[in-house]
Amino acid sequence: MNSARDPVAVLLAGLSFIILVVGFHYSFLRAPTEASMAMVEPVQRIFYLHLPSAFVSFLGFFTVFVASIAYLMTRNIRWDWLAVSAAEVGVVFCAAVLITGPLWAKPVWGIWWTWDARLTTTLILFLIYLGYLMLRVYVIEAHRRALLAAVVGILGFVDVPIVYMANRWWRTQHPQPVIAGGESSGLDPRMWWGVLGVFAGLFLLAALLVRQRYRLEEMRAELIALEREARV
Amino acid sequence: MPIGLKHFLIAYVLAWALFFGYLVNLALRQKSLADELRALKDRLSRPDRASGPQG
Repeated sequence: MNSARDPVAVLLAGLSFIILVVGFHYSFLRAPTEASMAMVEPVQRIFYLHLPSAFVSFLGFFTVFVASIAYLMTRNIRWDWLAVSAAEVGVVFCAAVLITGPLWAKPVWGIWWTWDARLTTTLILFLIYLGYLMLRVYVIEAHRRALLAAVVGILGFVDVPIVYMANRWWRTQHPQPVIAGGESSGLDPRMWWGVLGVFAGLFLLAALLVRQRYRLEEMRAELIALEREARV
Repeated sequence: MPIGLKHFLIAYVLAWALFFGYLVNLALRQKSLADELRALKDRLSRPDRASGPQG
């Protein structure tokens, strides 16, 4: 199905665009400058893309986790299609986190990268799901591939809560949490509108990407079935 | 130029290039598969298919 003729894809794309425009309007024009970063004012606005991208990648990997369990319980290959679609989209958003983070860090910390707990566990998370996608390339038989991938998808998810808790459990160079981080944490409400708006827009964009990637798996399965028919 | 503006612009350009690049990549992969599907369906619907695969 061509996405231009798919009303759900058009709706997701349109809503995502509108909500992102509103979200970035709040992020760039309404939200105040973070008190400690007045000297590097534009850089702190990277936060409005970095944090929502991280949340969306976590949701992607959570979808892999749930779909992998569902596949192991039902052996329905459609769960595997959902898992691989969410994994690929999760990796794209995790890559965005790993790109925007160092670009924020260089002017603020003076270094691109440091091996602190939050940064290291995020890099490991990215590599786990990159490995998940590479594993799938090397296993030909569909159900064997789905089984192995489901195991990796479930075990790999263990790193998500570790990434989330890393700057709560350990002292890190990464800024302290803004959500559930104790009495001194939190954001100005005007900043929240920016974060939530961009998160909602990116979430819809991710839903569109997962839908299009899932469609690819459907088409591939249809092609394999037709090729079998052609050989008979 | 304000301090960090360059980093801010690069961060946003690279992140959006990544998202849209992936979307375009998906569209191209879908188009390629759709072409393959169409060609195979055409082949299967041809009446001379009954004679079996050639060559």
